[in-house]
Amino acid sequence: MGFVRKYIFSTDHKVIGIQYIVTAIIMAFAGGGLAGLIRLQLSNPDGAIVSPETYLSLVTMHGTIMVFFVVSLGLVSGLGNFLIPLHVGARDMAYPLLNMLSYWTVVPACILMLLSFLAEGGAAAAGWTMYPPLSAVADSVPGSGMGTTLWLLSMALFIVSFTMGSLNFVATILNMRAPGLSMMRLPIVLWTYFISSILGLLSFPALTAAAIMLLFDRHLGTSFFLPAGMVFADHVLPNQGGTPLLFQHLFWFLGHPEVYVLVLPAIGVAFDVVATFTRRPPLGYRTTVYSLLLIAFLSMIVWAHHMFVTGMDPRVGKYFSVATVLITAPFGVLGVNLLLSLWKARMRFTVPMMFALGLISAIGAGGLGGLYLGTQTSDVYFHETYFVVGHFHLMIGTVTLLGTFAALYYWFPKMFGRHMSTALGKIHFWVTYPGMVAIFIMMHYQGLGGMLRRSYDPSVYDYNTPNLVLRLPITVIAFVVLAAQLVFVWNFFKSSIWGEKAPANPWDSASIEWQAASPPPHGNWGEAIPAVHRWPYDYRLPGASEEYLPQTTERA
Amino acid sequence: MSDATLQSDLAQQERARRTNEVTVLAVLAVVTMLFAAFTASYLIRRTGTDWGHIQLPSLVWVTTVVLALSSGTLELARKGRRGGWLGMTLALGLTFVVLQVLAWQSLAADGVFAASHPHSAFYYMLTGVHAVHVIGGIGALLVATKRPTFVGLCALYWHFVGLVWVWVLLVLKFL
Ligand code: HEM
Repeated sequence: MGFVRKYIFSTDHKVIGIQYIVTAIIMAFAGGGLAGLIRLQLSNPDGAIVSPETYLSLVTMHGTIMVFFVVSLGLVSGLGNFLIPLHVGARDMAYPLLNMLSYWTVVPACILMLLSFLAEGGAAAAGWTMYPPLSAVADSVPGSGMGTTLWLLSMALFIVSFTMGSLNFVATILNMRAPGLSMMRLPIVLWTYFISSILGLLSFPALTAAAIMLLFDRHLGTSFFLPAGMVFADHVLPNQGGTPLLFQHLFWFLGHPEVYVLVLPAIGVAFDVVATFTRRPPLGYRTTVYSLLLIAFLSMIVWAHHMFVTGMDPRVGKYFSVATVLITAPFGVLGVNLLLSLWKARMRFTVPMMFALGLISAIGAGGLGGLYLGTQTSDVYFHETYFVVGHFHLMIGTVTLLGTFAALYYWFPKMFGRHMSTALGKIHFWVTYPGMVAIFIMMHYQGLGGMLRRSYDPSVYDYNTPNLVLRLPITVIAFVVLAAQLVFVWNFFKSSIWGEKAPANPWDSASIEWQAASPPPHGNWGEAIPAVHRWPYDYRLPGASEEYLPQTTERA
Repeated sequence: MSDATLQSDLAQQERARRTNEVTVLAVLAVVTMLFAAFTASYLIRRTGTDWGHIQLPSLVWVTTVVLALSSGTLELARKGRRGGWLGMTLALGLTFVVLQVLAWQSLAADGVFAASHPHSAFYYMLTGVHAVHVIGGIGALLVATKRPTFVGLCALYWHFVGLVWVWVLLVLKFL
């Protein structure tokens, strides 16, 4: 195989997985850099770093890039690609060619998204939620011109790519499992990838439909989302009859399941990392799987809790409120199972384990805020404040990133046959985890004080005076946290070349992927596909001769 | 070939067939969700004060017949008489797309564009998105001419896209 076939246009799921991860790291520089700029603007006491229009572009692009091009690409597509075939004991994905295609579709999506900064008028500025009318009327704000067109094109490519990827994941997990590997013998992390792929498949079409209608409104002059009597730039728009709320419904029909698409795999990683480093099975395998399925189902019927303040009928609001609070039941089961898995355990405090523990605590903190936001009455107050910003950063920012890091430190030896530096890993953890939690908890306080999000200069409102005390601490910590990510990036690339050599199963894990060589060769398993005889959590079995029994060990 | 390798070869083929089937079913689920989203949007948009129906171009009844025929010929191809029937299905599929374009042109000639009316906006959009799915099906059929095992899967998709067309027409005509 030539270099190009092996490393660039590769169909090997491991190479594609690593390509996704590296792409996500590159995009994280953009997303993180934008976060830095946002914080600089927000804590600059006098005068402006950027113009108000540019500020909105920064926020929009930060949100879009982080959600779709960092967490989705790194955690879901990247690690999913690397892990799924190994975990099901297959030689590759069900459709290797489609897999390559989905990666090479997302690359232009990334490029278009970044290019939109160069567009006339700047990047899209209607928020990562792209609500009309700002997004539907090209001359409403500068970023609504070419910038938004590029945003839409990029997202279209992203959706196509993500759909192809999810099809592959589902087909592989359902049909490529090694002999003896029933669904109920899959590690929990694979269940989370399976469920999140299905969720993605079923929810992205709503955004596709919304984007198509938005393109019609923008370029063909239709009025799907534009009501009568809108005035922009001194002229009345000819549109009539449309409703921007329709877009909000469609957007959140995707948007809410999407956060579960991101969060569930992180939780799955926590379950498996915890099992390996407590040397015992996670508590309640079955209840966990059923809870995951229930969460996935419920997540598709709660979308309008993002829209409590849109003037919906209070009875409809009540339904969405109740359904939302219902999710806390299965989510509580996950949390309890994770916590009880730690109960009185003798833990090995490795770097992946530390990130997994941090993640578990962030689920708790993030989930708590969710209760206040899911309740209609309190959300009316919290809506559009930094309480929301703090809340969702704890869930889709902190939980997912800590999960990604736990997974990368954990499976790195399998990816490259080398260890990452533990010392640098600990530095990374001890800055990132407390730092992120501190930043986002402080944002909750600002939100309690009524500080509005997407607001260019909060100091113009007198009531914000007490809230401004926190803005400098947040910014300083944010920059420290961002700098610590450079330590990670250095550790990642340095260790992939010069890291200490790792054996095939450095963590003494029982699950099947560690039975392959490190890094696994093309085709993963050499001569024969392994046969599976047990679930992935047989640690310290009473009466067993070994401390742990790999999934491939025959039953006595 | 020894018995054992023959066996495992058959098992391989069987697995590939099942995998493809799961994938096609998943694709159908995705398409269903897409048109469900459009239908929901339609139901919301039709409550607007400016709603009303345009006269659908009469060509759509012709295209409906063409698409129905193509499902029939594809069934014949699937039932083992591959020969000409697959080619026939392809021809009918292409005819469908061409006629859909002509139907757009006839509407446009009457001065009805996407922006003229909320109903015409849905007409252009739904027929357009549907046509894209038909074109996808034509691509799949082209692959099937080389790989006979695909014909059954193509048929599954093709009939489904035909049903979607009926759905689109019902929505546009009666809702
Ligand atoms: C240290 C890291 C981060 C910092 C300091 C940070 C900071 C911020 C701030 C201050 C805002 C609100 C701006 C405003 O409303 O005016 C914001 C918005 C947002 N952030 Fe982050 N962020 C970080 C990481 C992340 C991550 C990892 C994600 C991943 C999913 C993320 C997703 C979002 C989203 C979706 C928005 C909303 C954008 C919008 O309002 O349209 N952020 N971020």
